[in-house]
Amino acid sequence: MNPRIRAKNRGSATVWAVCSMLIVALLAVAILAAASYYGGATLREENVRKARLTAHSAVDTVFAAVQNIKLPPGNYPDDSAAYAALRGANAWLSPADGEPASAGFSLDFGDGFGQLEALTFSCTRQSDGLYSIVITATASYNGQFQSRSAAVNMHISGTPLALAWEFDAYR
Amino acid sequence: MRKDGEAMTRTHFPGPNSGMTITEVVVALAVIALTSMLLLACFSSAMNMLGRSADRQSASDAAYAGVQSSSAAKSGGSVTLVLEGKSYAVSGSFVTAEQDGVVYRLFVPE
Repeated sequence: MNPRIRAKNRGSATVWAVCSMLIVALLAVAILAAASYYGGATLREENVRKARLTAHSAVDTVFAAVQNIKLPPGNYPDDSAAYAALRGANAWLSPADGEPASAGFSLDFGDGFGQLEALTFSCTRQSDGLYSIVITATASYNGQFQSRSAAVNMHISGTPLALAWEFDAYR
Repeated sequence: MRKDGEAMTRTHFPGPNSGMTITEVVVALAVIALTSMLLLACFSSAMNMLGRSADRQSASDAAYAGVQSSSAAKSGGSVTLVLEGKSYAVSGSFVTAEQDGVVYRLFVPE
């Protein structure tokens, strides 16, 4: 063999060893990254669940609170007039056009819960005296956001007109 | 100091396959041993992480199912909701479910 060619072979074992070391290091990094991602996904899922439970608690709490509101005293010709008076006394009630509107709020459940980030209401007049209200709460926990909605029905009916509430469904 | 030509002509393993010295082989084996140890350590660490994640996921699933079940621990309490400047006191129960360090809480109004 030509000595010059053989000279270039010198050190090839070390080069191969270093190359294989790099490949193995890449493999090790990939394994660790995959394991780390899986561990992170578990924690993210926990945070998502905590945010969802907070949003769920908030929706239930808001529904429990608004059931206590009363129709302002007055002689209303129809349910629309009563709803307008109700909106005057409760600023969180949105126009009955189905458009969601944000409400100013403060609600803290304490330790172990997430942070309530947003609260929106949308109201739709379904028929005479029947209003469908969708309460949507958005909560966060460690950077994970979740929303929960509940549809409730508000009846403005009777003589004299009175309010009645019923839960419809979670969305 | 040897010249190239001299070094090439004085081979320990004569023949066309004589490309590696014993030093190279020893160094290569040492490098391979080191990388194997590194890979083994990484693999072991990854397995530990995956095992802990799987345990945590199981605990999370159990706690999440628990907090939504009727048998979860409950304690009475109340929260104050302020909505557009109006305060509403809402009483209810704080439901707590804990499983291996994973805790979920829910507030259920009366």
